[in-house]
Amino acid sequence: MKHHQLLYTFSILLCIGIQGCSAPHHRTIPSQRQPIPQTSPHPVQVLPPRPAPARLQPVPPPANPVVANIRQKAERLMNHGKLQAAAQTLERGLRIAPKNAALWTQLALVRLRQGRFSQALSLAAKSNSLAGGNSALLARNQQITNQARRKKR
Amino acid sequence: MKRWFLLLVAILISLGGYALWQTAGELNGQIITRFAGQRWDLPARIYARPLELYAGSTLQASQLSKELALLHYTPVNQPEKPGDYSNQGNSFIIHSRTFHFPDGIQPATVIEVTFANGHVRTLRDNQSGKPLSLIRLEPLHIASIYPDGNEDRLFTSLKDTPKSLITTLLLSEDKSFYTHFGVRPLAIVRALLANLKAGKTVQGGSTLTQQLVKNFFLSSERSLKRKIDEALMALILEYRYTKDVILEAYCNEIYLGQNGQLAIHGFAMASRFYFARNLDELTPDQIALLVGLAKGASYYNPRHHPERAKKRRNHILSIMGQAGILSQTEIKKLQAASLGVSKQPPPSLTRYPAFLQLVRRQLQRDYQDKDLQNEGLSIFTTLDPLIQQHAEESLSRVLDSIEHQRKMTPSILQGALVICSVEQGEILAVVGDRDPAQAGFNRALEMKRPVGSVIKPAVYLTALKQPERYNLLSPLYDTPITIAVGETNWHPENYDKKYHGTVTLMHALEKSLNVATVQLGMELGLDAVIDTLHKLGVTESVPPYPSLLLGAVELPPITVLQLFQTLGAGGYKTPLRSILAVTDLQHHLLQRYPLTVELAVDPGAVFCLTTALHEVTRSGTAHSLQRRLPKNLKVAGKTGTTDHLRDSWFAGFSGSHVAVAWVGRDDNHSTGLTGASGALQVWAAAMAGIQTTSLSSQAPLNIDFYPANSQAGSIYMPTCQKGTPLPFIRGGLLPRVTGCQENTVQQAPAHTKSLEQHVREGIQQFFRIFQ
Repeated sequence: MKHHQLLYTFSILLCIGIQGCSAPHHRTIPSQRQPIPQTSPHPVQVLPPRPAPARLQPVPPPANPVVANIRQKAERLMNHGKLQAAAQTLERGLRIAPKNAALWTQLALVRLRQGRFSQALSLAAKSNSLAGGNSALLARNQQITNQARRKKR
Repeated sequence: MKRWFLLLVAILISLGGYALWQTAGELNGQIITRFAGQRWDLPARIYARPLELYAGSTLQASQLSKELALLHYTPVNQPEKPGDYSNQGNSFIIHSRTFHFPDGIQPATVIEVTFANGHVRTLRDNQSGKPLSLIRLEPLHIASIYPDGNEDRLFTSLKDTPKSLITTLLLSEDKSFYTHFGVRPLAIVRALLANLKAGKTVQGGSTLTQQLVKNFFLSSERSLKRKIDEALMALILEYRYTKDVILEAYCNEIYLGQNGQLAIHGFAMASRFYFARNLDELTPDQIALLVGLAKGASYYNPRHHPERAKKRRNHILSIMGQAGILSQTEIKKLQAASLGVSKQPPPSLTRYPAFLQLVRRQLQRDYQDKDLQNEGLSIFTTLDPLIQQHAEESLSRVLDSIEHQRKMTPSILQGALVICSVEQGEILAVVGDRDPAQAGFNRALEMKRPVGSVIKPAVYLTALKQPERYNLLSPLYDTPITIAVGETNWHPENYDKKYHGTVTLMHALEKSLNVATVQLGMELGLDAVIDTLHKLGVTESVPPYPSLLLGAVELPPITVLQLFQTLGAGGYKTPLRSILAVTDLQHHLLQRYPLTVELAVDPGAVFCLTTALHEVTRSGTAHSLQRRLPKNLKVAGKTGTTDHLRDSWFAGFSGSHVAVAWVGRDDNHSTGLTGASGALQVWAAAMAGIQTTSLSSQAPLNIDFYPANSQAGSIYMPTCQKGTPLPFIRGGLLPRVTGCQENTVQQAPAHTKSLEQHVREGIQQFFRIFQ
């Protein structure tokens, strides 16, 4: 076994050596779906200490009054137990402002109340990916996620 | 003898009476069967999306004008009734129509809309002057699903039928309708005498009830038996049902015209057919014309025999005058007016055959054909008629222009174009032929063609999904490679037949390098790539041949659309939908097709991929988009070209729309077009003309940006204050960090290493095995 590995490593060494001298080199892949050797023939990437990431998170867009109205209407419908109508209203809102994270959160909440837990989880995650730095919304999504996970069990 | 004779007469009368009684019994049975249940087969009506209006929405005044024209709104100085509007420059006053949406009724309203800079500036209720938050126009009726008998009818209750129409109808056809008992023996005798005197039929003695019976139950043969049956049935009908029920049935049953294969029944449908208007929007002269048609729809056909129709209409108008419904001056004015019939009848078949095929596919999963043909369902779809129209024009215009420029045989090229919304996967337009009226082979749905490099994003995403191994600046090898496929060897080549050495992952995708992609794909494993394809929404089976990495997979454009929808929506797949809701005849919601999302791929990985696909459109194979699209519109996409230039593809998305375009030939010969010189142009023309938005720069939570030296494949220390920010998945592999002085001349790691370094690292690796 060891012997086998040794041969393998030598061949890789040879390969790297050749690559260093002459490019382009010719690779032959024996057949489809060969396992990729752990010791990749690619030069190892150097892992330096991580620099601090640049702050590039954009500021969320200003609140849209139409969306605010739609959210209020959906809220009212939800309070009256009209969950289907609330969902329809929110979907109408999402047609107007598809990247509005708050609308996705509210739809997640409707699905949670309807007992559609998988959708509630997906929608809360979707909201997260659009929420940027809105910590209140992220916290709300976390609550929905926790509840949906608990109830799904 | 005389006694015998009398007895015989008595027997005959009894027998006749018995026969009559028997017949009456049968007829009664027929009436009950037909009248007690549903009276007509009502076709399902299919609607497009409604146009939403709100302050701030991206909409041009010209687009609103187009929508109003599609909905047959009439331009007037002072909007008075539903279906009217006035327009002065950027300001519109619209008297909208009442409509039952799946989420409730929206009553007719007079609204004032103003525009500025391609946006709706204000939206107000015209009466109160109060601002309105959100309102929608009624959706365009795009098709109906007809019953076998090919009758078109729009059921309208008596209370929704204009009073003036009812009054005029009764004045003209049956003055004593509310007092007779189904037949008027005196009128029959009078008609009989008049007809005998004239030697032909000049006068009819039929009541409305008899006319209804004739239309409803009996054939058009002229015999005494039929006359007797008609009278008997009229009597039974009057005995069993109220006058209002009979009148309502008449108004919906009467035959008023022919549209190709379709028979037009009832005043409401006739109003759409002749005037492209709803019944409650008709003027008195239009009402007079429709009432006049009751006497003979073919003889008085206003499109074929305008003179006859006008004479008949004016006759009805004078009846209206005599009854005091209109003043004499009004009558004079209206009698001089033209017929006002729309030039073209509405198409008896749909104007949107390609989209309708998709709707039918979705409907067939949940409904029986019978339900669609006779239950009077309303089907609410996602079609955006403005985008559809623009997409159709874009495809045919671009193909014409390519053929002209390249001196090709006219109409040799074919194409397909599909567009959906990014986040909802709502299909907004389907074009399956350069001639959109063509209802035959639908290339957008039914055609399977190799997708070429359009598949590459799935290969690169498979890599980016493994952040511990790959990032946008990972080195890839664009160097000769041979792959054994069964007995033969495969040598993938680049489009330019050159090898580009070590390149970054992002660069390889940008320039669509085949060899680097194959090397990456083989490293990842074909199964992993196929798994990504399925996760993104490809339902077709994909055989694991290495050539799949370069798109030797045959898919229809609609599947490619689903794949790019998942990418455009940041890794969240939403199954494509063409139907949103179905309601029944009473406007109750029967079924809703709600928005569902499913996390398919890590949003961080998709964000990185999207950054690279955006670069494709800036400096890569699709850089020509820069001059074809509006300035500052950020999009992401990928070109695709197949062997011998047979298929030209472009697939991509903006912040709000996903579109896929294909150009090729039906005989599968070479078009001489690459993805960029063919389908890209169709895609660009389509995207440039719709109200779309730029890609969102909102990164998912697991993304960090680092200033990068893309050419060197490295990142700078932030203190350097240089480099272009690139996204990386937090906790994943990072490229090497270089000092501020390092410039782009230095190459990626593979090239900067000396032979000694390689040997040293190799020896270290060698000894690690023994540790």
